[in-house]
Amino acid sequence: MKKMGFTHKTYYIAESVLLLVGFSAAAYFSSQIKMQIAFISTTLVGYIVLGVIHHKTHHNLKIKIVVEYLLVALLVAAAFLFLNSSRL
Amino acid sequence: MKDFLLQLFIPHQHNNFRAKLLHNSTLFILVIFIFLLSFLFHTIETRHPDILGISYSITENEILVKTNQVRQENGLSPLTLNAQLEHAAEVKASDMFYKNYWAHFAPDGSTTPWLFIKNSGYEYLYAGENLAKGFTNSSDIVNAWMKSPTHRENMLSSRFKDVGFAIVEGKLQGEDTVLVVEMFGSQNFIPTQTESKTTNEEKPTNNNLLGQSQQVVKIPVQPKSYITEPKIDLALGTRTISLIILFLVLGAFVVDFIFTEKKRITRIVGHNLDHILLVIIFIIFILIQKGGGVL
Repeated sequence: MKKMGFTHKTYYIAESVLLLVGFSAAAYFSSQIKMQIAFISTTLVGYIVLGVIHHKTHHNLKIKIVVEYLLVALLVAAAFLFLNSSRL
Repeated sequence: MKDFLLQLFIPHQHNNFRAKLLHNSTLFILVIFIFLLSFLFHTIETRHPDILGISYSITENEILVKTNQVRQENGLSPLTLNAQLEHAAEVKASDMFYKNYWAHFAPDGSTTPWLFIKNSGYEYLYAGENLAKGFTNSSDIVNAWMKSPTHRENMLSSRFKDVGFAIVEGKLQGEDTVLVVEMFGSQNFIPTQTESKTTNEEKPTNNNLLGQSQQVVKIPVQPKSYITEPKIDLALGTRTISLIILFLVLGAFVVDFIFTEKKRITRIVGHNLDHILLVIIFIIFILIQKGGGVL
């Protein structure tokens, strides 16, 4: 149980760092839409990969879960593009 | 209706103990809905910018008044609009759009801010340049310049007596934007306080200019501005819709997280905490993102 708790903690720290760094970089390049797209895309791909690794580590990875991570990431990507539709 | 909303947001046996909003099929519909909305907004914005578009209010007068306001607050004399500097700023803006760059110096090395000023006929003793793009109002531009140390130094330099602006809309590096160029200068400098030289400020090496009397030709300056007032502000509209959707999804994930933790229900789904983290950080990103940049 201890090992499982530690794995979860490490995973959530890694995810938090990834998201904070990725979105901070995107915010820093607020005047460069291409840089923002690059940072947000990379962050979202990293988010999906981390999610999949996390579930794989815990032996409960199903295609349904991969699709869920993909859809949540797509939802964020769609919202970002919608917000910046006038800049594209 | 009540049952529908309950199924949509609250986990219970009728939605397989997972809010319907969080089912993959609903998330997929939501993604498609946002993409369609983006397409619809983009189409309306392109065809009817008077109905749906970004509301801009950038005027030369507002920037000048606010610049002089901060100068006066710091005990400095106000800047005077100069037609030659305005011309230099306009040519600089056109050059950036034409050569597709966002910098003080053209990447190919062909132009410098000082070249535009010299070519306009303004014989400067000191000169400086501030740039801004992607802002929607004059206040945000002046505030952004004041927050940046080098731009602030230009704004609050006692060496400068004249100023000229260009406010030009166009496509820069693949992005539709409004570019603001602010050129500072002085021809007869009477020092009022000790200052350090900024990176955006140049003193010519030609000492003959020192103390040289210059006859400035006063050209009537046309009021310049970029104001668009569509019926619906696109920026406000997209921001509001996005935040509503994201808060609904976030709320559903939080309720689901609390529910599963309390009831100890095991399901084949992703970690709610992952999604909650992502959505919260993205919402913070939306709230802090201003869109404009200075250089």
